[in-house]
Amino acid sequence: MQIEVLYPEQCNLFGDSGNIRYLKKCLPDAEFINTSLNDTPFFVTGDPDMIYMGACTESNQEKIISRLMPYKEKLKEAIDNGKVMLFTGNAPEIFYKYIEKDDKSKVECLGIFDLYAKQRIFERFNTLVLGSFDGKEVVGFKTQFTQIYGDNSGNYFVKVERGAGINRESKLEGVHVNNFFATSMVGPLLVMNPYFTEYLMGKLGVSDPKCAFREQSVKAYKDRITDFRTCRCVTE
Amino acid sequence: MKPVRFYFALFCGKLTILLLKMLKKRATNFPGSVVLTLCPDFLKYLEKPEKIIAVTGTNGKTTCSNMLLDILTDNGYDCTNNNFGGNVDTGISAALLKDSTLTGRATKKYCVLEIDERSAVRVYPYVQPDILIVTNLTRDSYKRNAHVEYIFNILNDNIPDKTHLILNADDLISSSLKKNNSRTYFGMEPFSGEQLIGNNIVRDITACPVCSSPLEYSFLRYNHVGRAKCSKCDFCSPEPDFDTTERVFTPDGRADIKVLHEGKTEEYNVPCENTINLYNATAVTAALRTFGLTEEQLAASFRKINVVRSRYDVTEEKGRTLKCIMAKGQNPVACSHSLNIARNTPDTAVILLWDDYYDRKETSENTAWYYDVDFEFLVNDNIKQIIVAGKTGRRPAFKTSCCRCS
Repeated sequence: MQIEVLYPEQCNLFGDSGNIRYLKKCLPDAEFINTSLNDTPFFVTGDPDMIYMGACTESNQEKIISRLMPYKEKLKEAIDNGKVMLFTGNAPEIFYKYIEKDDKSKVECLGIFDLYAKQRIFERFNTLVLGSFDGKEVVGFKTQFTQIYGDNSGNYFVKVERGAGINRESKLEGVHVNNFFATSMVGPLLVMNPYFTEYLMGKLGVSDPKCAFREQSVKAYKDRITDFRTCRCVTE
Repeated sequence: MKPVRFYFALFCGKLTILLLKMLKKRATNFPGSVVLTLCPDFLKYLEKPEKIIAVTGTNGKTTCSNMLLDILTDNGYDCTNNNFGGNVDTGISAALLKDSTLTGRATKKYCVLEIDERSAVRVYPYVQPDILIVTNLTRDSYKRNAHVEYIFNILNDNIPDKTHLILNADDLISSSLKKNNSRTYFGMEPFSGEQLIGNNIVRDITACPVCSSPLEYSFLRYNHVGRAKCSKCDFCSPEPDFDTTERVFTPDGRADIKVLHEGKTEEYNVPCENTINLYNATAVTAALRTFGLTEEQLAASFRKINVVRSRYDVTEEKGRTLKCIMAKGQNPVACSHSLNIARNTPDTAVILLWDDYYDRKETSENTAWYYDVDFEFLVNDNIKQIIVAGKTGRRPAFKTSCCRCS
């Protein structure tokens, strides 16, 4: 099994590299292929089973958009063909139509999904997310400068119970199409959500998937669900 | 002509200080909040001391400003300061207000200020330091400070052009601030017997900012701090003007250091032994020598001062040594430093009190930052016991690392 990690030197903010470190524990036999900014992505010439990318700075996000623009059709094809893909933090914005900056200028993105981001550099948005996917609770943290707009009612990833979806008013978080998962949630999404991790492992062909340190992970997951459901406030 | 609201705010601020004094309350930001509420541009109209030395950066601000203040005081300089803890605009306003007359004139000629990085927008237009130490720029609280580039841009856009910068040559990020400002670089050579960490999870710069090619390090001390050059273009670390070349620990938790400056070696006994504080002492050396203190003045004062005990304290109890190391919460780099000190201390029982009360007071604690902390450092033969306290200690971030330990 081959898992391509796009731009790990740049896309490692907000604890996002914890996802891959955990996945290495869950899938000890998998080969992890790191693609650097000046490399041609492995998915262009090879056929990884999964592609992952985490959060990065706003300037690196623009560099990455320009690096991936030539491979827009290849990525669209991968999504249509059901390749397992997970994009966290601000990485999903690359797939949207554009990012509107403070001065109203627009950074054109790949335009694969009919959504757009409004970036406001002095409006940091922090929230917890408690929601559900595939009948199980999903928990996560968001910390971002952007709010996402557009209609994701037909392809959202998580239905939000507490916290916010793609923007402050939305209760639908991220994008899920075939095996493509995009979410603004950051940090150790996979460690925090053992059932979702096992769901992904199943999509990667693992029979009877069991995530690493399962007992502790499930216990902490349940603690956190209780905490998120009962804490006084979720958004700062 | 100063507006009436300034004088009204000044009068109310002075009254607040008086009331706090009568109520025997310790100095706080509160008078600063009062004046800024009544007059948001209060700092614009208040007279500032003639010479301002300030400190900013992710880690080491408080230690550096305390060292600066102690040494300047020891040399007879009476300085306005905000060492009561307020490093944002309200704290700085409170400090300057305290040392001003009822007409808004500064009563002291010198000033040492610790300035929070994010407050740059509100402070630097009015308070323009003559000398500014930037200790380092590394990853900090995600919720407040987002990422290093965000903080770099805030500083770069707001530090005044006239300010002389004291910059860390071993930090490729902060050393690139304000390219056109006059500057003095400080740095530290790898020391004999020093264990360079070099393998932290987090490295905030890995590619050349000019051409995105990989960086080649001649040494990597921790995270991205070390000396590097681009593998393709001319981009490289600057040469330090004050370069600590030798460090010998003394039994009292201090160190004798040799600092190379303009081809001559200066010798100081500094009140610290860990890497971050040795960088702080070197930064303070560069700042105060630039300010005009002589080597002799500086050396004599360094011998007399100590680092604030609440941040790093070593005590002996029944033949055992207890090291208390305070690390800034939600700051993975500072916490990794603490774990590294534990790893390098023989026969250690590590007690981690790992709970951010303030973060979880109103909400559930955001633990994403755990994943950038080098818990792996605890996988070491000298670590005899790990005791975890706090509400979130059970969560898998820590468990994952503990499992590595077992």
